[in-house]
Amino acid sequence: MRKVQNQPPGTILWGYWANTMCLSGAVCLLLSSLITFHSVFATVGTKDPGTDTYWKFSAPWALLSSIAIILIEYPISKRRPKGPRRREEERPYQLELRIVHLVYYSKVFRHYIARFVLYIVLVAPLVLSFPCLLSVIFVFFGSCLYFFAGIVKQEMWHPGWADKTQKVLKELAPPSQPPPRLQDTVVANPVAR
Amino acid sequence: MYSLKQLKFKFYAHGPKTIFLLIWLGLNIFLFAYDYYQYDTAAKYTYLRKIVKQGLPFARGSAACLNLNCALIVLCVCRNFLSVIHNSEYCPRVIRRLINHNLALHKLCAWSIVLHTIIHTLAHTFNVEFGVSFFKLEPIAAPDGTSNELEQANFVDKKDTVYTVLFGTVGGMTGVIIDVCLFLMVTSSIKIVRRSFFEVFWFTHHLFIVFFICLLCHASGQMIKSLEEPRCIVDSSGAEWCNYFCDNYIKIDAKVPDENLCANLKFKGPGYLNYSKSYWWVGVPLIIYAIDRIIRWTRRFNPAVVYKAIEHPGPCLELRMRKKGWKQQAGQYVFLQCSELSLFEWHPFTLTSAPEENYLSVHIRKSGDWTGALLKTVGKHSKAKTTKEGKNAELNFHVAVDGPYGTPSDDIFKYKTTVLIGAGVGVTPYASILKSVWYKLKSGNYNFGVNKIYFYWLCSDASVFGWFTSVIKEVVNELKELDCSNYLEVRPHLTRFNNDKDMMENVAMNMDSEEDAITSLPGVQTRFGRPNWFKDFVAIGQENEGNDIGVFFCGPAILSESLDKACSLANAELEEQNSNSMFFYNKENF
Repeated sequence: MRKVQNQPPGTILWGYWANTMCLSGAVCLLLSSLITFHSVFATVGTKDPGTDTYWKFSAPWALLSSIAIILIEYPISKRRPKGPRRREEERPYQLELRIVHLVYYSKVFRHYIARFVLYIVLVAPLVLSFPCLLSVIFVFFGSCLYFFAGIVKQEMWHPGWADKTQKVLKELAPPSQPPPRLQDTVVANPVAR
Repeated sequence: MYSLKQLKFKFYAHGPKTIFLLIWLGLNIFLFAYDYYQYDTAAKYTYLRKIVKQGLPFARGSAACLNLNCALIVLCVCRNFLSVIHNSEYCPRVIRRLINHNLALHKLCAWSIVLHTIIHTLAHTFNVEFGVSFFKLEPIAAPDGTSNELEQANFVDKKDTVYTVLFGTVGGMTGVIIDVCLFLMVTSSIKIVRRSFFEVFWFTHHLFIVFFICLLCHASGQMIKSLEEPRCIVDSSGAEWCNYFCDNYIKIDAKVPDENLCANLKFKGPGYLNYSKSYWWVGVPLIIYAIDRIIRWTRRFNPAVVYKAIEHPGPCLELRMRKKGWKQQAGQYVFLQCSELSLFEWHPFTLTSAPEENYLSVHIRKSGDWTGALLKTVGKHSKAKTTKEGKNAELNFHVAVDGPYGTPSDDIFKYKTTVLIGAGVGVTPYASILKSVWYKLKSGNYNFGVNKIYFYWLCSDASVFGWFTSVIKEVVNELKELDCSNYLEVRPHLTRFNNDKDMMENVAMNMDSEEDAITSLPGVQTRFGRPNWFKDFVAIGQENEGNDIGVFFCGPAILSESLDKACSLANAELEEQNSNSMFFYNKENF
């Protein structure tokens, strides 16, 4: 599987768009869940005439799902730098989030297919909840794009700091091989001269 | 923090923009409040309000704001239309400066559309829920014992569910499509996606066609039913009698409908033309936009011929082209399309040729897949041509050119003193302007408006100076020959230093040389690090006492903010020194 930073230059990283879609979809879902808690959708008039008959399940489920998706999607993946000094795109304070470490070291949600499966499982039961329907469509679009990015384009999530740590460790490690020697050439030493 | 005096200058510099934004905000608030009030109090919606409660006025208030913003968002991207206004002789500087911010307004309108779409969708979610749930209510629970009238006034039928309303009606279905289109367009326009993968943004943004078609059809379902408009008659004594929503006539003073007087209430949809205001708002802007797109489309049938390609370090490629009937002003930009690479992709480039030259040229730096492919294609054509016809053979490679379009740089000749600041590849518009100045002076035209030009050239890497050294050097030398070197002061700055020993040695060796060691410009010395903008601006203000000084910048946004601030601070400082000089900040936007 090709990591994000190994993609050839100029390649569209679909995971980026999927990330934006899922995050904004989840924000909409959060809003929808709060509305579902509103008495209107359950108790208009008398004898429970609201259209969402199982709102006692869908409202908290939508709330928890949206929070879970936001937490997973907030940290954005590392971008393969195009130029020599390209700045990495990160959302504010994303490195301070514990979820970044959990997602990275769990090695599950780094894979976009895992995200696709999780989001489908989270939002599928909410299809029958009218106030959540549009948000469900939005998250569904995002997760389908994750599926495309994971299966077809073989992309995966990668945090920006992972490489930095590896680089530092690499720099500190002692050399394992002797330096290369130039053969058949005489190097003049300017200091000796 | 800004002092009061600095804030005054900040407001002066951004005054027109601020006033325009306040008008825009005021219009939004007014439209929302007006429609909200109308639907909240109008007697003809009395029965509908009993069903959907506050959802109706909220939905209509946000719809009014959506109409306004959908009209403005289209107008902001009518390039030819805006260009005509911008280039008009009668267009005042204030309006031109406003037009330069068209893309910022486009984004602002987009976010406003998002906000009002959320309000509108939420309000209708409540409306549909109330409408469908209404039939589940027991008759006894219906308010005022008017369940029959309420049933008539309801916009859904007894057998409807929320899903049939959402997917089985024109209003519901178009609403869902509009929301989905908007969601896709907005998520692909976020900076990180737009900057990284322009194609995704560009293609997704064309969902606006579906968006606007659905917007125009959205109200055609005529779902909101109101009571029929009252008919009025005047009796022999001159008193006016009206039939408020029923067959019985009551005196005009009785504005509130008396349900007891009304035997047969009549409900109806208002008719598309009476109800939907979208086509009034969006119709004309859409027609202007369509004409704009047709003009742009026809330009591909008059392509420019690339006759010369020059490679500069970077890698940077200069394309020189000829086009029939070509006219341009200094500092303008064009969109290029190469049919060999893509039929739909148009990319913006600043013109580096002067209006006085008989060709148009652009400098293209390799920074993405399209520019990389273009460099390869031009190289392939060039190789084939030179192999066939010899080294000096002219290329015959076609590219479509859309433009030229105006930029803030058009105003350069309207200030007596100008400060041009180009960072990295942002130097391109100024190459054209400096060449134009030279041509003007060469032709003996010394009264073209500008008395002095300060040209700041900021590069993070010494090799980047190579892109335009030849052009700038030529201009500096020619001005020297014409004895007009006081017109131009070049100030190159190398903002990053990478411990390059060769460069250090080179600088040390050429300390006394007339030519600069890094840029090889005569009589100029490259400075290391960023300029102290505030100090430099105050000094420029003192040197050019009493002049309006235009500061023109093309480069990264972070630097733009500090320049804007430096201009306000310098204005405040100059006022304290009783100087009449004043800085006006302008930034290139793409």
